[in-house]
Amino acid sequence: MVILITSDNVKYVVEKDVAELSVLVKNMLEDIGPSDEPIPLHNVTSTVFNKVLEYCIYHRNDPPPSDDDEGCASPLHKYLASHICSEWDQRFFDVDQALLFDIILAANYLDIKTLLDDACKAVAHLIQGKSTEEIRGIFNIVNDFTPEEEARVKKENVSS
Amino acid sequence: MSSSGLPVATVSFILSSDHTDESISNPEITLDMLPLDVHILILAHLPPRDIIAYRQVCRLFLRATQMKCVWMAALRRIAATQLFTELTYPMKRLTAKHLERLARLPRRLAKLIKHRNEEFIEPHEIRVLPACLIEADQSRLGIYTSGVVDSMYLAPGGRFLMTLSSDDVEFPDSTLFTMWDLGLNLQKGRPLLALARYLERMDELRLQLFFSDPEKIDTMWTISLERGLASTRILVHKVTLLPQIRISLFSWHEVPCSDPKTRFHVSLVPKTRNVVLSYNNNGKSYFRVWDFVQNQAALFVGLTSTGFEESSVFVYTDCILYAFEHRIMVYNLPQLQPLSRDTRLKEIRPALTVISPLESQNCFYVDYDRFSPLIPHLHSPTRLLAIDAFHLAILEVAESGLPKKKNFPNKVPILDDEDRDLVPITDARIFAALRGVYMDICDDKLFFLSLDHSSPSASLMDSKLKPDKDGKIDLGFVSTELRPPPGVAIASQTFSPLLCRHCILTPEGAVYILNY
Repeated sequence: MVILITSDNVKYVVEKDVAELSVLVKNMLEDIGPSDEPIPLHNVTSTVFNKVLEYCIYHRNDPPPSDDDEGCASPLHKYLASHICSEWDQRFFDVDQALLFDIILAANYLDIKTLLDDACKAVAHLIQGKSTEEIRGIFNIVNDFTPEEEARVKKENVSS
Repeated sequence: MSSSGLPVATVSFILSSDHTDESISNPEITLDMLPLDVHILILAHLPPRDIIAYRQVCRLFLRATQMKCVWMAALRRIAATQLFTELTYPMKRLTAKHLERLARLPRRLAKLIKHRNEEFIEPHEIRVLPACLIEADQSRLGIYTSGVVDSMYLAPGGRFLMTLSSDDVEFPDSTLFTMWDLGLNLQKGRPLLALARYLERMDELRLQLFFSDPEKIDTMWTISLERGLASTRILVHKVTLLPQIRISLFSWHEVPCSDPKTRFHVSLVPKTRNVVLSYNNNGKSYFRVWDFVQNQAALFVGLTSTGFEESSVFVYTDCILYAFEHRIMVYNLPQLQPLSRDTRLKEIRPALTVISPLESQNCFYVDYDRFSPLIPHLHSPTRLLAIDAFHLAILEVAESGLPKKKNFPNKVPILDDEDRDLVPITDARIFAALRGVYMDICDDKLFFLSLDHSSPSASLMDSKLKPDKDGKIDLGFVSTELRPPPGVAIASQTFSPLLCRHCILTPEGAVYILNY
């Protein structure tokens, strides 16, 4: 068992194999050796960590992600793996945007590759098929281009 | 303490908490506050069209879409969905700009067709495959002449062309395989390179397929047919891309049919190394499913049929749809058995026969979105278009929804909506375009190449085929001619919308490459 403390001072007792899905935690455990010292997670609140933990427990027995940079693994398998989204995952990521982005930041900080990738996939899903204007609307983003820049970017990217 | 986030399993628990929900309230995070790395990960899941929309949102997004890795990921997606090797693109050597251009070429083609000035579009470059090799290639590949090209096949991806040629003086009773690198249509005047050659001591070979291995990125395959006097042979040649490009004979399989009038239809079970050969003989339709790596096969004969000439065969991973006139027969894909002399031909009945809403004799079918990048899931329904001279009907091909039972196919064509009217075809060119070979999807448009040798045409149609509020479907059809250079006749042709490239084989055996 590993003890983790979130930034808002909530203590969690987590089985080692679940905790080690986070490369950050895994490396810390290796550094400090066998000890009962709690591990502080400075950048994660308990609200977000609850979600992260839920994901890690559900996916604890998944095969580890491969280093697929230049590997010879089937490109189709890679592609399918990146596209088939289980019903559980779909429900899991069906949360408001702020929480989704918090999960992304937590996954990034804790270095949980599969969670980070799946959460990014969920964001991509929101973007798919939308126009530039629609994307700004959905995510509440301010257009910070000057009129000249915007005209130039538009011109370079005229759609068919 | 909220319990919503905690899983049922008690592998973890909260030890103590000084925390109340109100104690910390983070300022709400928005998408533009995420680091650049995260944006790159998000973009890796989007096709070029969406990346282009994304980049115009704000400065940060623009910067993310200018990263080379974004376009590498986009091209890898294209290669994966269109089932060709990503070695087609030399990712390391190309700049971000070039990679982006490659990913967006199909959209450029769609634009060319849409905004054509004349009734035809003009290629920006016309090349001819050289009759003799340049000196460097000669010494490397051994064989100097190119011979007369009898058949050719442009591999998916559009860069690699395989030609089969003959030369009665230099290599009698043989067929010369040549794999060509036609380049990526990024710069003009790039030489057409012969990458590998192989001499097969067999006459009259005809190339049927040239495709990438579904598993190994460094392997490609060719399927060709040899029409002999007593039988027909299917030959498989292996092309290894690394460390050196080499072509070699891999395997062959004999089919006891030699009737020169018989038309063979060769296709591939998607995402496998299983070849399906179908033909009609004495009023029966024969099917051979052959796994050329394991040398396993299933041979079966279907119902008596007429009109095979007008039939279409659609091969899925779990069943074969055999469509002719207004009937679509669905056969389960049988279990493959190790091939031996005793392998018996099985007579099987279709698991299902579907009657199309178009009863006309000259009804034909188009496999609509099999390789659609819009529908990445293996199990998504695909659609068949049934077309006669006046109407078009959309048949959804869906999972049958029944538990995997013997003698029942997994995919069943169903009418999308029983009450929906057929879409009337008002423009005669639509019939002609659809009659040609269905080629590909450019972005969200369907791309067709009509195989009419006197006037090849490229056409676009809306790929969504969604009815508007009045229940009418606008096909959004536009068509344009692809003109061969003056004086050039067409024996066969092939097109790659991915690289905007049209290849023409003349009756004299010369190959023209037209880049758009």
